[in-house]
Amino acid sequence: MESFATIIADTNFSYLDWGIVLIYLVLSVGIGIFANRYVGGLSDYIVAGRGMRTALGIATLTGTEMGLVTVMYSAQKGFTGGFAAFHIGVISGLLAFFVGVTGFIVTRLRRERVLTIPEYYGRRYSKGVQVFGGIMLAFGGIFNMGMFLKAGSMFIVGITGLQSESAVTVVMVVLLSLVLFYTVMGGMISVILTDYVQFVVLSFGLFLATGLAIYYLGWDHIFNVVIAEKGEVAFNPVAEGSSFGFDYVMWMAFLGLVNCALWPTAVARALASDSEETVRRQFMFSSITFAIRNIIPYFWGICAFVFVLGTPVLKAAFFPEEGAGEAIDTLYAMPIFLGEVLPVGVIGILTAAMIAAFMSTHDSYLLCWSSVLTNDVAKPLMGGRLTDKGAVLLTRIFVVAIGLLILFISLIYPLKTDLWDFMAVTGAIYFTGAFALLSAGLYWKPASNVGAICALIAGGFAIFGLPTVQEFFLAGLGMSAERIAEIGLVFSSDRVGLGTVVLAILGMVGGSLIFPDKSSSNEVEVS
Amino acid sequence: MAFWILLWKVVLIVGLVAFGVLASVVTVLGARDVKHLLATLKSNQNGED
Repeated sequence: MESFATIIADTNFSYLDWGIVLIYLVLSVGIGIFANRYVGGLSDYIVAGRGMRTALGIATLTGTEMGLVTVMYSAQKGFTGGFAAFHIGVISGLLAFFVGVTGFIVTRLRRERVLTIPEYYGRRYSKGVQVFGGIMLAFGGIFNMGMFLKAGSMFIVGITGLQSESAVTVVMVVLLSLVLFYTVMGGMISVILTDYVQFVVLSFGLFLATGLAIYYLGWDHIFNVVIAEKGEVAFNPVAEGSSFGFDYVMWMAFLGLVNCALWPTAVARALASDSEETVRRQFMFSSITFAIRNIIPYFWGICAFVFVLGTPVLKAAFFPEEGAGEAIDTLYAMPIFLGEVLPVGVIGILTAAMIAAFMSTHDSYLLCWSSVLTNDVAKPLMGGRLTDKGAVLLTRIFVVAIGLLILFISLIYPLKTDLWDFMAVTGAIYFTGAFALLSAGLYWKPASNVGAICALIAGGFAIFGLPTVQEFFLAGLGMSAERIAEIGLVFSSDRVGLGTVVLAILGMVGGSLIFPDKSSSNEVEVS
Repeated sequence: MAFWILLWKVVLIVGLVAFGVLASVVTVLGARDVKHLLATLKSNQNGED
């Protein structure tokens, strides 16, 4: 079996492609400097003065939610699960359309004119819930973001064929520095402006790469190989022996709803919109991108699978025979495939598009978590002593601190589990509790302060979906390492996730009915 | 299995066409919205002054 360095060295990436990437990076930094002149107060910095209209909203929502990490884990799912993975994208698109038509949660939040989700908790429940909810949101969100840097850097290394042993680390540091620079400079304004440019580059890159992949492998050939190698499980997600199954499909349906109606970076776009009507239109049209952001990378992963099987060296590297050494991480399959089939120039445009996807996700996430820490943790705790200018400065400090923290997590956390499962579990720490707080707060009048705290605590149990946490607790119960390895996962992540959702809802309903609020002074409009 | 194969072929083709149309429209109208956003922010700043 050939070494990893030899395999990735076959890429078509050239100096011309590096030039294209460099021009794009300089453009992004320039936008950050340009946007800085428009930052007045905190609302300019966090929600761009609420001046965003529909088309720009769709561009920025797509730019944020179609991150390089999404492309990487989706391609991995397509590589391992085949066309059956398409169900996740279809469900996601249908639920985004549902949110757009009904305005479920997002339009009500926009009506409240809050800057962040925990700010709504503060108005509806209490300041204590706002601070606690803000901490839970930031903790889950930052942890969730921990693997973004590494996955993105693996793509760059795989497609460019960088040979250094420390290539992944160097790429992580360079990309993070660029994102930190323009996010700190211009806040949401530079995020929106760069997202627009990134949307244009990303859309072009997606079409070009998909078209060339089909041209190179052949439409019928792709389907024929998958049918011959995997059979029905590669098409039917609930077929017997499928790697998905009914529980998984249910968990994906909940995640689909959460991704557009609850995930703070998506909701941030609703809060930055100029009207509720814009919010609805934005989500209805973005339903196409919510679906396609998964479907295209799944398809690339499937194409990579077909390409690997047809290339003896790669087949031996990804599917080694017993005793022939360790298989290459399947996350590398898609970038290696694209690196070998795309021509010079096109590969540079695609890499710039993927860096665009990487940066547009990072900037929004960094801004989102730091806004929450400033607005919902620091501000209430400082009791009115934080000025508007001070809040902008503090948000900028949090942006840098979170950036360094995710670099640290990327460097020390060994990604032993499936990347998508890691992200779903860490995100669930926030969104399972938030689902109960927001849906009950907006649509159920008896929802109380105690119910909200119970639901937030229940959401924290989602962390038990991580194998490392389950192993830690089993070791704490005195179980030997051999026995733990023999047992494997006690509960699968999809079951822990669904269980936590139920627990959070029960916490909210039970807590509210047993301990109703004494005063209704905190209540906002509920219907 | 024939149903699932046909379904995913249709999903992929329709998805690509729909995204192509959306991307073209958003690219054109988005440029107009950028101008509007910057004008809004500028007028906000002038209002503060």
